[in-house]
Amino acid sequence: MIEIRNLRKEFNHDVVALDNFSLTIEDGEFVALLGPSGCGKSTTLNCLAGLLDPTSGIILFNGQDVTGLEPRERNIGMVFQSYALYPHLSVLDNIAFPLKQKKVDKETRYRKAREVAKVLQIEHLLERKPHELSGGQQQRVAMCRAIVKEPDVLLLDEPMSNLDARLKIEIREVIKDIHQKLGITSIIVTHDQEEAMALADRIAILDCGKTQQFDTPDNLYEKPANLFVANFMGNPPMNFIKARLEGNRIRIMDSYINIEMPLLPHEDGSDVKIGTRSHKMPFSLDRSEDAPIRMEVRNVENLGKELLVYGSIGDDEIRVSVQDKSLYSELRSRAGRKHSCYVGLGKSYNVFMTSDGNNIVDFKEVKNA
Amino acid sequence: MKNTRNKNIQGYAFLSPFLILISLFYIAPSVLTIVMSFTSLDGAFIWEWDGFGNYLKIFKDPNTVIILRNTVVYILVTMVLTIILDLFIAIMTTYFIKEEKWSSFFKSLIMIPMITPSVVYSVLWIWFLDASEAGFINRILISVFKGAEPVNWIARYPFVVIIIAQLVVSLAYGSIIFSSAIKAIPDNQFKAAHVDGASEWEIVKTIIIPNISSHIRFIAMWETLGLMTNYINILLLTNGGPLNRTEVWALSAYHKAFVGQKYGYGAAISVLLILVVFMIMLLFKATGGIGRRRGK
Repeated sequence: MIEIRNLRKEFNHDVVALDNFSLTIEDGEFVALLGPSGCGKSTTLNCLAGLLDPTSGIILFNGQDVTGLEPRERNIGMVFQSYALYPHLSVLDNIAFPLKQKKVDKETRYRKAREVAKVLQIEHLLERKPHELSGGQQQRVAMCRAIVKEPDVLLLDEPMSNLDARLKIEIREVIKDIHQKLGITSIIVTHDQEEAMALADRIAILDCGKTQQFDTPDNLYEKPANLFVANFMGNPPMNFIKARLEGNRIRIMDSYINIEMPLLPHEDGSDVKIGTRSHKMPFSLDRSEDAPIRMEVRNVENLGKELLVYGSIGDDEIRVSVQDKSLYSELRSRAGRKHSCYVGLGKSYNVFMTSDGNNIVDFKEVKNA
Repeated sequence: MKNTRNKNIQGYAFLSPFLILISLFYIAPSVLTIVMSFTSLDGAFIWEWDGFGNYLKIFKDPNTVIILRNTVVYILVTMVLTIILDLFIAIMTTYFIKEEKWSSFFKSLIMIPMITPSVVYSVLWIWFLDASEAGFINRILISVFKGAEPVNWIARYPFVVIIIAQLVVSLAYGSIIFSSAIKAIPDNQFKAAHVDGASEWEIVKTIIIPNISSHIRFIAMWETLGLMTNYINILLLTNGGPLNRTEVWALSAYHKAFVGQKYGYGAAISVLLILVVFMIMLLFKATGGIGRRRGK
């Protein structure tokens, strides 16, 4: 178990990269630190590795305080964005390097290096130098080097950012496989929400050195704690519609809709933003009970399995998924003439306070979210 | 096609003043030296063909062996010490001292001997090592050990003196080159090595030195060539003495030509030196030069 308690890291005495940051990671768990650049995710990882000394706060591995320990005393494996292989050593020596530092005898360390190389399917490359390998192969070597010493914790610092789209998915599968096989507690830093969703058991979303939400991918997607998280998760991004809470109704432009979601106590008449996923919005060509809000159609895309309609409600840009593909030509012509169609909020949506961005839906009361 | 030729002509036109100057002041003297080495030219300035007479004289001269040995020892010891100290300084100021303020302070300190004129620098050494009680080191010696006799340092340890004096001048160039080469090593390699459990010594051995190996070879060649041809410090400090103890090859060419006024003989010694310099440069090129760096 890894515990981070009240971590704070300042650079040059005035730049605060992390502030009062806490996180608990269970044994064998795969956690992603996700956030935009400069949010403190890499700083957190470097503090965990011991490559940076935190200004204050403590880090515990299995209850033991490791805050002051050197990287080599923490038994961690680390994979870097730029692979960071040793250019003058062969692949085999690169993989065996951590064992050599542990004074493992030559025969054993080469045997172990060959074993992990086999798991990652690079045993035919062992005699080569790193510069003779492709990016994907180099990252596999780096993975081997990180896991060969059987670390307690595997740290992955944007391991897929330097790879092209196809290799990204390939390495993603490799990482997932390794984690399943070895069950090492793993922490990945990434700015790619898709990557985080695919790999992690839980994701911590960071912004400005603070955790915005630490939860399962599903909960982050369905129950975002605030506007920042909602903005970050999901593709296409969540729709946000300006609205006002009036009694037990929501007012959007000049339409009124009954509030379907249980809400936390709030002031009547508050300005809010309604956040909905594109595939959860009822859609209809004409005003109906389910779809009372007028949306101006701007464009429509045929994605094959469904249609994606672009439009606007007031000045909010909206995307709606439409399952009925036979509507395509009708929507095309409406988009051309800037005509409207109608959408609703459905049974499941989020309500964010405009003032502080927090989600005021009371998820404890939601029966089938 | 025509265009590129035009461009080439333009290039040569721009270069020509420079090329003319170079041939006038570098190539012509070299040719002249080679020609001179086959004559018995002396203070009377009579160009008289002597065939390989001068070269034979070099091989017959009993001092040649001593001078050759002095030269090899001087170059090897100074070069090896320079590289070791360069590495030490570069690693210290670049890898261990992360604070820019301090590392550049140390680096500029090392630059001082290089930018000091040799004459001033040698006078300092002579005062420093002076045989009388006025010498700096002798003064310290006497004040520490009461009743100690002043030592004639230069006469007693001439070889050590010239090596140390040259070493201090040589340090700046190599350590600056090494230091920028170390800076160019991606930071992640150090991070990875720390995570992999490498000690600092291990990092120096398996990351820093292999990464800058081409620079080390370059400095080795550079120092060797410099030490072969540059004799100013020796001339000013010991003038090759006492007797022949610090006489090196290039200095002997100077002595024969300008002190003994045997220009032909001195030229022959220089020609042999140039041949060796050429061979070292070819050797360096053949082993890959500085351009071939491993990795990406």
